[in-house]
Amino acid sequence: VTAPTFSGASGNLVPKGPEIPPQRRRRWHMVLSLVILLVLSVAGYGVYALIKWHQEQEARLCPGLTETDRPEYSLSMVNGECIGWTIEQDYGFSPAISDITSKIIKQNQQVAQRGTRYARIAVLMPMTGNDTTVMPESTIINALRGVYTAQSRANDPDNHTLGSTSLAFQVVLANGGKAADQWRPVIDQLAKLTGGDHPLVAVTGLGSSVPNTKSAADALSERGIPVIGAVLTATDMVSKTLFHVSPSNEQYMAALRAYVDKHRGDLASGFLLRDSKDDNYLNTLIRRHHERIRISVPAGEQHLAYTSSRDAGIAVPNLFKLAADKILCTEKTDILFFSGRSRDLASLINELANHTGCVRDKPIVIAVVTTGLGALDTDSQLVENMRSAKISVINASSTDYRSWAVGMTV
Amino acid sequence: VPVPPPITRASGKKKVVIARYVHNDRLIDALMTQAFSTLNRLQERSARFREFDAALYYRLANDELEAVARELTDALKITTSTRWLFRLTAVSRAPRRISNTLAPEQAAKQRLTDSVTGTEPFDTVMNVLVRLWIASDPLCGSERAALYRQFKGGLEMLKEHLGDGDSALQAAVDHYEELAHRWTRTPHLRPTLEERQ
Repeated sequence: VTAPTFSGASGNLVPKGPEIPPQRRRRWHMVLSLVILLVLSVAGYGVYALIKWHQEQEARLCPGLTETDRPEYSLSMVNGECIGWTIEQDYGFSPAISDITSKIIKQNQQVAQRGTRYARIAVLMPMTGNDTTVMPESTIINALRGVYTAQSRANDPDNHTLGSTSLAFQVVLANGGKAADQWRPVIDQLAKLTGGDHPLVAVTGLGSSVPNTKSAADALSERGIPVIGAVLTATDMVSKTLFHVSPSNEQYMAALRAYVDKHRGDLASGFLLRDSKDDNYLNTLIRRHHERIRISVPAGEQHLAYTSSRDAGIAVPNLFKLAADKILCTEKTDILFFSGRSRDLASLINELANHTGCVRDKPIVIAVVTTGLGALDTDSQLVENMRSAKISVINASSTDYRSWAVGMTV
Repeated sequence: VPVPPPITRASGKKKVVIARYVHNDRLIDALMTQAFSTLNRLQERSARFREFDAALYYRLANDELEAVARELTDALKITTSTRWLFRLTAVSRAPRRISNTLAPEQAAKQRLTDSVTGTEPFDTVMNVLVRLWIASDPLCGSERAALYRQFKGGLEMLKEHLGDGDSALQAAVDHYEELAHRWTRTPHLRPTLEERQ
């Protein structure tokens, strides 16, 4: 299209042909070039964004999966970890736990095929771990083995642990990250499972009494989802729909105090060894220890702090050397109140048993609070060390299967 | 072994060196490495034992009785008697499915009838495992006495297979004899399975 040109000042319009002034033509060329450039830029950016989006989608895919969200799972990569949940997709999270997760998933698939009523229970915890993480790998494996045993019994139609109910259960395996810090998106995803024919009815797992666990329990409570804390004992771990199945630190300490006061009047001097970490379990335990020691053992004002290890499986050189010196040689303590995580108990016992700083003939009693004794139940060498060093343990615990196994009751 | 430098007694000096501290960094490093690697190896070994015990415990809880007995039979040849008895005790504490119809001793007999193979020491290991497993159930009641006696008899039969362990085995036999005696003497004080249910 060419614009007509005009001449004369009188205003008579006389068309002079399709000639375009070079200046105007240049302007048109420039406009046209800019438009083409713009179109190309937009198209280029679009292609770039598409590739980038595709790459991001691929980066979010967990190894071996082709999608992030399907009815049977919702899993995506976050900071190098596969975070989310799975019900019927056999995803192992790590090679070490893939055997046991496969069994749980297989059981879930059988429940779905059975055609009877069923509900879902989520186990929210770290599914990957190593020697330095919140939950070491061995703890994760054993927790999942326990989950599988419970699920098998609950789903056994011939010999139902819960009585005559025909309700079956699927276990939702939910990975909250190895540092237990990815629970927020997982809880959002789990909240979507609470409706439908097979609703999510509860969340368990969660781990120990630490601030992250409290926040996760609060978030689940806000969504109206019941939470069962298997090993939560801190007295301040309270939330609207959070249920405890273990006694509290207060109850444990009352039991310890009652036993020491009634049966161990011979213990004159006490010493408190406390983990210096700041979390709900340790804080409430130490507060109770301070209150109780004054009553039960008058000389028990002595205390020392240490920085705990992550996992008892790692050799932590000299973790309790200073404490052993002070307890055995300086204070010559009768009863040691151990206010720390049970994973450090074996290291403490070994340090006390092998300490050579001074001659000591007197036996020593260690008073502890645990949901189970861990290493003391499974490490025969440790028990042998205790015997030879005259170390005994008074343990306030949720279970006492050593006594139960031989039919003894208190 | 590094040789310390000779003690010098240079003439014309006010101070005479009569002793030197010997400190060989390489030797110290090597000793520290050796000590900690030994410690770590011991802890790793202990962790492996614990892991194996835990795996057997859960397998028994899931009714893999024959497989667990097979593992325990294989372990007879490669572990000390103390360790083997510790393992047997730890594993047999696995929670058992509640049987509403069979009394403990009958349950033990049935399990053993179902799984007898005619090969030793597997059958004896199976025998001791089943009896201790059922006796370790908190709901077992006064029938423990008979189960403990049968268990004790099985342990005595395993003596020849536990090469190094006369004293450990004898201690275990005495312990279970004492438990059996206690349960025989005061059965009326102990609730029976039916009463507990």
